Amino acid sequence: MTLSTEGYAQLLSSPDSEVLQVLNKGLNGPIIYLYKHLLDMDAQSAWISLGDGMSEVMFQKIADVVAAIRDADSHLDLNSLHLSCLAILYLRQSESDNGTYFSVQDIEDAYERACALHHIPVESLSKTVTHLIDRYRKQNIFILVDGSNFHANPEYTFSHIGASLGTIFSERLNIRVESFVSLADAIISKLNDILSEARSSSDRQHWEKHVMLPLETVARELMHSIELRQKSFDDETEKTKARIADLLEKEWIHVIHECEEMIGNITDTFHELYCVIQPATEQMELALEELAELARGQGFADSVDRIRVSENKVQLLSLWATKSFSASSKYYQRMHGFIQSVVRTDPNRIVAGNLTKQIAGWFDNPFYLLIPDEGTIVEPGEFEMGEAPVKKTVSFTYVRQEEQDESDAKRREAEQRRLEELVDDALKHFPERLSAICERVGKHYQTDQHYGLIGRIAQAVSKRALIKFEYRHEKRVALGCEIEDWHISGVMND
Amino acid sequence: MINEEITNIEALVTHKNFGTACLHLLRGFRVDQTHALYPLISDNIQLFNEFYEGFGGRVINAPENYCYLVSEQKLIRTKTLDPVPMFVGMVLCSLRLSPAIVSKNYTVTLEEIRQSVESCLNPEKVKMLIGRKASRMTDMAAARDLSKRIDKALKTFKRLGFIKKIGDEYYLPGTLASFMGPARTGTDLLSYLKNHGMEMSAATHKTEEEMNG
Repeated sequence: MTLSTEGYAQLLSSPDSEVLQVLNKGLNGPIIYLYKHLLDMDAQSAWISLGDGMSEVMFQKIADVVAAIRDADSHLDLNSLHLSCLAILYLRQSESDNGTYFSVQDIEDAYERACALHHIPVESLSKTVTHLIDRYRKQNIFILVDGSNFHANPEYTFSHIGASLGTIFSERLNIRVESFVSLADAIISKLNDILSEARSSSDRQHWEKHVMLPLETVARELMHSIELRQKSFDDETEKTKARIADLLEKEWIHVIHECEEMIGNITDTFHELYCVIQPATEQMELALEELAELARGQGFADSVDRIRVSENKVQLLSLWATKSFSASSKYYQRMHGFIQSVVRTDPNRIVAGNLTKQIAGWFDNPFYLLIPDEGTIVEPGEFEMGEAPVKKTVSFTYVRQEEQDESDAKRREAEQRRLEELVDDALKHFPERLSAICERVGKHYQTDQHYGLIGRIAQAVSKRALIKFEYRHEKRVALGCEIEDWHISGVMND
Repeated sequence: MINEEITNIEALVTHKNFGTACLHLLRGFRVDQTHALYPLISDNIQLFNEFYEGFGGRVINAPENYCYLVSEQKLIRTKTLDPVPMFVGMVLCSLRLSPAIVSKNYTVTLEEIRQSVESCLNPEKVKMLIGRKASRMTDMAAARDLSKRIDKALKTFKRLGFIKKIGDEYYLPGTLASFMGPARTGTDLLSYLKNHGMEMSAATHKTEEEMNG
């Protein structure tokens, strides 16, 4: 059971969900691809609108075709290994001088090679290949050349389905703008020839022979080759996108330039294609439109439908070029924006990379965080200056008094006032220890006065500050003398 | 109340929340932007620095919007993080930067933290982290010990403002950037450590645990 591409396209245009279910169930490969392709391009609606003008004859034809598929329970059951074997056979056959036939030995060889490429061990080769041939034959992919079935060394050839599958899965035509140009030129040139024949055509036989037959050849063969290139190009685009995504996931920082270049190449190619395809399809559509008018003028209703199929193909090609260019343009903008705004400027990604290296190398070169740990002042949240909930604890210190001279009394009083002012000033800086106050106050006195000064400073401090009680005060050198270094925990109110 | 204009150091130290802010900083707490004290500290950071200058301290407002105190002259008592919390901190910092955690609003489960830490370690490194005690341990015992130490490290981090517990999950705030170390700037290790109040380990290095006996 075979179904032409235009048949599939027409089926897809039907809003009947049963038709789509039959297609999805029974026909894989190119049909699903075509369906997906149409969905991707949002062209299904275009097809439906194109199908509005379809004649009843065409609808009947569709119904017959679908009924035939359903009744025969037609389906293809092939896995990637089977398709690989098929592709290998197809490629060998195209390069072989033995014509289009191949023996069981050739199939065994192809299967062995496919298994090796799939990394699958080969077990009981001849038995497996016998089953494989049986599978291919049941699905009308292979045809036995000698129909008697008793041939000692049977030879097989591809059926139409087999050849189509081989073409689709083995041909990887590199898309090039030049190839599109040459194909489009060929189509336009052929269409112009057909048009001139149509203008001079007067009877039905001449019309069929010189107009419809060449037109269908153009539509089928040339457009088919364009479709193959479309598929190949779409595959390549998808692969490129997947590669970009993969690269960005992994070694993104080293491949930004590569990604940008790849994105640029895709978009440039699509732009060139768009520039080539758009004018070409416009010319094709004009020629086909004129052909349809001529057919309508001559009363060839079925020809009008057949021309419409070609027209639809051209419109689909134009739609594909437009949508692909638009999609690639959006993809370019999105990816370019992503690279510029996220990859290039996101410092976190660079830091994350550095941090991973830092963690890996930390054991060889360890370093540690230092955290302040003065945790015993007051309870959190309740500290207010002047109302510190610290109990006043004062230790008494006896200061050795110098002999007082009455004549020096006033001078000493003034000195004491000055000292107390200096101590007050020092306490404003919230010193932690007595030694810090001594150092600050001691700067204002001569070195030979320091020894006597320390006791007076301690006395002044004891009157003004909260001294934390300690069983044994720490000894520390201040102003050249060893002192009991009190811990100042606050300042007393006046 | 907290947004009162503070023009001089006297107004700062007499502010009713100064004591709390001071205590948080002196205890090594990272005050992030979601904390009630953050406006007081970040708006008056110059006055805070003036205040701590006498103690050899400096308040830093990090790019990730959190404030912390650094003791530069050792007048403010400091402690060194143990190797396990230090390592866990770096792993948490790395986790915070991973897209998977970003998509979960920076929340992780305890199990995810443990898995992330363990995925960076082999049995030999586990023993290196645990220290001298590990020499007599089997690999399995060392792994169990590490698991307990990770739990303890998380408690320490909670106290220092490096993580927040929300239900059964842990929120990883921006304060974890403290563990980025030289990874952030790409500068050499020693100069970075010097500028950011960190220190290189030495043979005589004593951790909090060792000091506590």
